[in-house]
Amino acid sequence: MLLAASQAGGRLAAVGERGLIILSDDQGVTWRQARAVPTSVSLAAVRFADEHTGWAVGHAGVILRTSDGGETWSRQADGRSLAQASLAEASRSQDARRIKAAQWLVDDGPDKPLMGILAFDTQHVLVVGAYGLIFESTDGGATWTSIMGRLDNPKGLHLNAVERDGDAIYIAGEQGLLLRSDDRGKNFHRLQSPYEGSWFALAVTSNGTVIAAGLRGHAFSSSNKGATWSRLEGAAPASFVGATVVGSDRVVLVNQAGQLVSVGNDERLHVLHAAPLPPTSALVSLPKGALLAVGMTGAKRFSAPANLSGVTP
Amino acid sequence: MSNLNAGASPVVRDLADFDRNSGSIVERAIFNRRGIVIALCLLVTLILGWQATKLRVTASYEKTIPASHAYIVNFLAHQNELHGLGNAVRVVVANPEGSIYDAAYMETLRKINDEIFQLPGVARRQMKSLWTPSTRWTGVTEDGLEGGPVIPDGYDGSPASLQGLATNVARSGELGQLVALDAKSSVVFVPLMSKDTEGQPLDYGALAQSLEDLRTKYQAQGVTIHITGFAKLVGDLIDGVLEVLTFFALAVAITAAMLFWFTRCLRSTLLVVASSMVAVVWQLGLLPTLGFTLDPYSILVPFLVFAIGMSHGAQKMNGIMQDIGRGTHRLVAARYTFRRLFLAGLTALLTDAAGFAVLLVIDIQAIRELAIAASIGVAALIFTNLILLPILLSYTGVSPAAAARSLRAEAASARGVARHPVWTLLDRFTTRRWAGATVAAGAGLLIAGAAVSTHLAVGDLDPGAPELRADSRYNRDVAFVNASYGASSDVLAVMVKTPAGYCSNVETVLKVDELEWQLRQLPGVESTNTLALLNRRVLTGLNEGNPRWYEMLPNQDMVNTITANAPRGLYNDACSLLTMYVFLSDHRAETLASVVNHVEAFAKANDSEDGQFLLAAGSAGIDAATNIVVRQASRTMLWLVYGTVVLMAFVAFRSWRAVVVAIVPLLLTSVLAEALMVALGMGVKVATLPVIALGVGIGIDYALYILSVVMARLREGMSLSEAYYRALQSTGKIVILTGLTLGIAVTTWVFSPIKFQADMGLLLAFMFLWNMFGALVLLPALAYFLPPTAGNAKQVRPDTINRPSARWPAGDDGPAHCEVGCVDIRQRP
Repeated sequence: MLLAASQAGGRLAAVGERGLIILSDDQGVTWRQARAVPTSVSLAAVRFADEHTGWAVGHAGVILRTSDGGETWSRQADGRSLAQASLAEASRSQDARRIKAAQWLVDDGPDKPLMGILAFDTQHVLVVGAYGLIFESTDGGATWTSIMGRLDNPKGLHLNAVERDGDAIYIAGEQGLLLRSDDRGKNFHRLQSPYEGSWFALAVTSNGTVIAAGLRGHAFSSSNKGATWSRLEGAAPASFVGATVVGSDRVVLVNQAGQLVSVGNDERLHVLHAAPLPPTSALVSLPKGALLAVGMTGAKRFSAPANLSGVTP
Repeated sequence: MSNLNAGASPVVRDLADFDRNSGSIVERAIFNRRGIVIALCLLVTLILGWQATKLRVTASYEKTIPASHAYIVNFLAHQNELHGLGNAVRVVVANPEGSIYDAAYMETLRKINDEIFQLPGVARRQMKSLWTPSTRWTGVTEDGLEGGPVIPDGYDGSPASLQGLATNVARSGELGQLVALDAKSSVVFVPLMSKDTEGQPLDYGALAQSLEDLRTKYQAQGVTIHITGFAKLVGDLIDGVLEVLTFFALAVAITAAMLFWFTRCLRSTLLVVASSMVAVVWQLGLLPTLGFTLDPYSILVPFLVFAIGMSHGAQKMNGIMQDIGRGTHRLVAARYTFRRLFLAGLTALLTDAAGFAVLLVIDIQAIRELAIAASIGVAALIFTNLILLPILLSYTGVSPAAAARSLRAEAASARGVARHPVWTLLDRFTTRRWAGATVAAGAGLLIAGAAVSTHLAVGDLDPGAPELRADSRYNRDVAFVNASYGASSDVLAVMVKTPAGYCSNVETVLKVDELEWQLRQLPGVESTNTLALLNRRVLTGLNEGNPRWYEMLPNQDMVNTITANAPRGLYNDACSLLTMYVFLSDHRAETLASVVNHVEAFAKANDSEDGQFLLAAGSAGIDAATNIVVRQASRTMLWLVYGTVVLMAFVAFRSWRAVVVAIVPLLLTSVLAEALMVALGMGVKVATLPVIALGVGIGIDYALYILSVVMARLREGMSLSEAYYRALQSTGKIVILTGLTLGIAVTTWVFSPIKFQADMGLLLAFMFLWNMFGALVLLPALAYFLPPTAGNAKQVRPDTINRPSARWPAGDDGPAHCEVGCVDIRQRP
């Protein structure tokens, strides 16, 4: 079971259950295992700042870092150290509610997963996760600081996906939660959500269009930085779990059932008549119009369906 | 009377000249009351013939598994707490016109489901199909976890309810299990009970017939039906018994025809065939009398009894014929032959019986019953072919022309006419050059054969049933099911035993999770299912189906909650046993061995008070145990069979050199037969295990008959060449006859529609012919280098050599010498 994948320069890295990290130097044709991965929990996200430096995060709050393009990984943090970081941050704020929440994290033990990564560069990284967890590092991951206090998320909803658009950050989560920061995460504000169900996937195109997708085939797009959203109709009622940008501004979504849909300029979703994939958990765009899907049965590389270009205006 | 005279048999043309009280006490007891013996045999034949009509051909799954192997003990101890892991049949109902989401198809499936539910022997509570209430789905919505039976509430066959069914199937996890990956067929999974509610054993023939009737009935209604499982396989084998018997009949006819062609004497040919058949009747009658049934896998035994009977019967007939040819009265000829051959025949048959009986040590009931059946049959031959046949021949005699003909070669040789070219050729094997070359060639073959036979695999080598032809209905059904469902019918289950109520202990479930992951890395493991995997799936489900939650959380509350809602089959009612299902791509021996070895190593490192990992249940688990037992047994069996044969041969010959000379050709046959099995792609399994032992049993007859004559002649001072020539003329030609006859007869089996019979035909033909070849070629060559009498020359009393009989003209030495069986007699003090 693979859960996520990312480009790392010319290399691909995919992560999954039981600390599995695999690498491909031929854009997904052949794979090999990373040499050293110091964890056995499921890894839910992977992302690189450049071809050498990247992070993988997952269950039990594990944060791994590589500086050799994914060959070897070291453990930078886990649920215990992050809970202590949260408690420290909450104590500084002297906000009783936040201290209580952070104490709960410490007491509960490290059973909460991290779900998403955002790397501005090799030093400045954000990770997000379940129960509203969000941590920031400005020293390449050597120290992590909880920034849960900056988020308007009193219910501690899961943060499922995070993407950036220049200095702007979008976070999508449970029960329709949508957040935006315009200053690299110094301040966040909550967006008016068009949907009360959960989001699992986010994509931002080069011209700033934001696509949020999630439960039961719900997908919305916004061309004004999330101020207003319009529903993208035409999908089967299966949850979207992955999104990627093909070329500069074409967004392709994948649902749990392995069905691919393309977001057309007509504000509709178009089913791509590629053979259905096995149950899928993430999608990555590759050069030359190829796509990589990872999921239940591993990684699968395939050419973007021919009719992807057919839905251009 | 003097034993020394036992071998000297003067020609007695008139019965009045014969001393009725000569011969051993056994001989007198039998031949002086011939009428009573015949009447008794007739009575026994009538009674056992009547009993034989009660013989049932049936099979039992339990009998084919090694009941005391640790895996099976574990399985049987927990059988009632496991679900769908025992003996079961899969009835696959396909819609050739479209998908299963079709009102007519679903209605037919419901009817089939209901009819199968009513069949005797079906474990109804555990039966599973789209229509059984136990088939449920679970799904995730914004509101949380939902579930229900896959057949939607208020199902009425409408497009909407069929759409609901399709949705439910998709989220039930039954794709590839109950429903084909292409949704064109679905399974009715039918677990079977070994005994019905009244305690009667399951009647496989009747069950298979009921399923076949269902197939006929419903295929007429537009569905196609594919049936797989042990019950169907043996049902097909039982169904094929008639064809098997037809080939037996053909083999019997060929044997009789060749015997007649050889002797040109109708009455004695008929008597030899008849007495061998009487032994078969006795055997078949004794089986139901002793409470046994005939298993499809031991169906060859009656034929083997017949074949061994023919070998001995032909020897007796030949002896009597040659005596009559010399002018002796038929009753006296019968008594002489009895005197000469009874002990040799008895030794050979007792060796056969003992060789079969050692199969009893193998802990598989089906093989034990085969051993008992074969031993009973061979024991019956002692009465029918060693006692009844000579008595019958003493009444009928033989055709005078045939009798004269039988001595033609002997007479010709006495006149100094050139020997038959075959004898001349065979004689060369007693010369230094030929013997050296033969022994060298034999050694080469032995080494080459042993090298090839190391590749002999245990268990099944191909998917499907090797007993049936690849294009048989059953194997086509297996291929269909494997293609449509992935190969998930080969399942091995690991049982994880915990204290009562502790099956959901998070430490134990984490270990299960770890072992599951390790097993999934093994080649041949297609997928797995455990409570740990359910935890991963449900955690994903509880988090709105987000795959990033795919993890086994070390959280006891969570595991308890998930366990409480788990579907049946992952743990037992008392929460003291977890079941780990490992679905394999096939049940080849290597696949099974790698899985069980891995599990055993894991158990050794991880077993604790809280959880013990026990092997094994499921069809593949039982196959794994059977393979282990068969692998050990195949060696043990050969050691024991050879041990028995060596012992009996030593008792008969009292010479280690003779034992080596007699046994080495058999050994070569055994090794080459194993190499042949490799070449034919046959694995050692319950069905094929006894064949090599049976081959040894056939071969020892030939060696005993030839070597005992050779030794007797050597003791008389003849050269090896001359002694061997004498043996060829008396017993040797019958060895050639039976070897060729039976070899040709069983070769016809390659045309049998039952592949098991065809394979056995090839193996037996090889062993009949090669044993003959070994006895005729390798045996004299070995005797050249290891003179069998040299080691015990001191036992040969000079006064017994060439001692002319009082009433015997010197020079005509033919019948004057003990031919067979006198070895023992002479050595008695």
